[in-house]
Amino acid sequence: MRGASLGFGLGLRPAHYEALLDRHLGSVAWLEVLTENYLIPGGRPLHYLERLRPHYPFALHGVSLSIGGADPLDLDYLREVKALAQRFEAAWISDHLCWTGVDGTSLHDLMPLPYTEETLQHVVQRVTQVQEILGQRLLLENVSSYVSYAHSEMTEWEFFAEIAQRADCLLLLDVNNVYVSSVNHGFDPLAYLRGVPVERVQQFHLAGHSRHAGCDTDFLIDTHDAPVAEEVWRLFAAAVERFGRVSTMIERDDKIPELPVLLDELARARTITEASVVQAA
Amino acid sequence: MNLLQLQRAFQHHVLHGGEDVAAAINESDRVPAQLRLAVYADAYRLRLIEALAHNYPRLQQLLGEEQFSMIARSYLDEHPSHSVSVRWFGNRLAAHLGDRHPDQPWLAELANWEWAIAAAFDAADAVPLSDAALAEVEPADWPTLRFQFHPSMQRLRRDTNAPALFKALSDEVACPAPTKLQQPQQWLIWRQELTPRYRSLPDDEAAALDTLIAQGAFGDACEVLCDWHDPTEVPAQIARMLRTWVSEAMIVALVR
Repeated sequence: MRGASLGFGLGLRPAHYEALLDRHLGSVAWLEVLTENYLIPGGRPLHYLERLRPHYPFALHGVSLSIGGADPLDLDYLREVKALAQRFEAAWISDHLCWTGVDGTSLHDLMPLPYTEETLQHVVQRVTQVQEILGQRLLLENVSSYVSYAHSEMTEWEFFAEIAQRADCLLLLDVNNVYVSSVNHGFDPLAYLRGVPVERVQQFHLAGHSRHAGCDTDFLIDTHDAPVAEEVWRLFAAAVERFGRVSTMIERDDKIPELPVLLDELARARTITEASVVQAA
Repeated sequence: MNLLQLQRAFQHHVLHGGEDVAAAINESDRVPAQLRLAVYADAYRLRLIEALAHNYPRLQQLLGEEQFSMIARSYLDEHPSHSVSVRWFGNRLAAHLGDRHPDQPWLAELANWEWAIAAAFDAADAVPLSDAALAEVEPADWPTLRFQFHPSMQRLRRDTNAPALFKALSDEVACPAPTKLQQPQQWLIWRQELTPRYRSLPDDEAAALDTLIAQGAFGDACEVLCDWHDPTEVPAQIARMLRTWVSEAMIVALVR
């Protein structure tokens, strides 16, 4: 069901535009493009996408779909996303399994959903509608969360898997988010991995997190401002063991280092993957 | 609580601090529900203030981080975001500053200026007209000729020295004192290749340009210039302006 792996990529950030076109041309196998940053009429950002695209396959990654939101789907937004995906022949389109605001307000955050039958039905119906509009399977990503709801009826991974099966969509497994949420809610991250259907996982995310400053116990925040943590690398190795070769990339949104620093981190993801695949063979 | 009620209660907590959602949240001995919810409420403010600072970097420089944050909080309380991208967050900041700080009109004008610069940055693309295309116009066509300008082009009037503040803050040189001008100044913002540009306009050029932007013909612009120049000098004056506009990549098409 899932497509072939694109290999090892990075989240495209403006700080790296020139390096990716010049000194480090071809240094990554693909780029993940943040959808909303390019839903603009023209100018420099789209100019760079045009120049980068001949050298790198793109995947579009959005934050505003609000697939679990109670408001109606924003059809104008979806049409714009589709047009951007067509213009740059995006390999796939992903967004998050969350809600982002209600009654027309946007919180610009990835808010967690309650894991209930009501939410399942709501999300499945909306994913179906989105996939009809986009004309392709959507990838949904698990988010880091800091709250869970008393009335949830199932685990996050049961919910995640059920959405994928019922809506016939693909999954973007964020290994860091699994780890962050496992610490924040006290579940076993390996149980999470075991609960996710292998054939649905099209992409992995890796990223860094931070400890919450106002808390004397382990409570983690998904900050994307640091290297991937050792615990997350271990969980990534377990994920590769279960899911095999999956398109993998690293996200960094703050304290963005020079490109070679991220390329070194990406090399570690490659090494872990190759070791696991060799062992399996 | 159904899904809609839960989202409304949670959003109310993030925006206004309401406590209705707390009962729906699991807590552990280690991390109480209040602290868990605070992650979302605190991150919301930080993220949107940061987005506003990103959209208005020179205003933040002028005000300093602390005062900018206070203004950003008051803006955020009155104007939560309704758009899919933070690119558009702050679209009403200039009006907000005009209401709140009428005694410092340069704040609203600087905010509006930065918004216009950002609009020029990612406005639609268009290929500028070449000198050759202009040379091909038949003499008989000139009086009725109309022009299409680059989509990034914006005409602004400033009653304060906001553009000078913007330039000094951008260049990181000593900033002049903010002040209201004796006479308003006419300005133009547009994008040349990938870079937003701006310059002030003499009154005659502003009037000619406004006529053409409003889809007036070349002949109408010549007539307007007669208010400033002797009719015998108008052709030379407008030819000079036209060369400048073409060299500055402002004109993208001729409409015959």
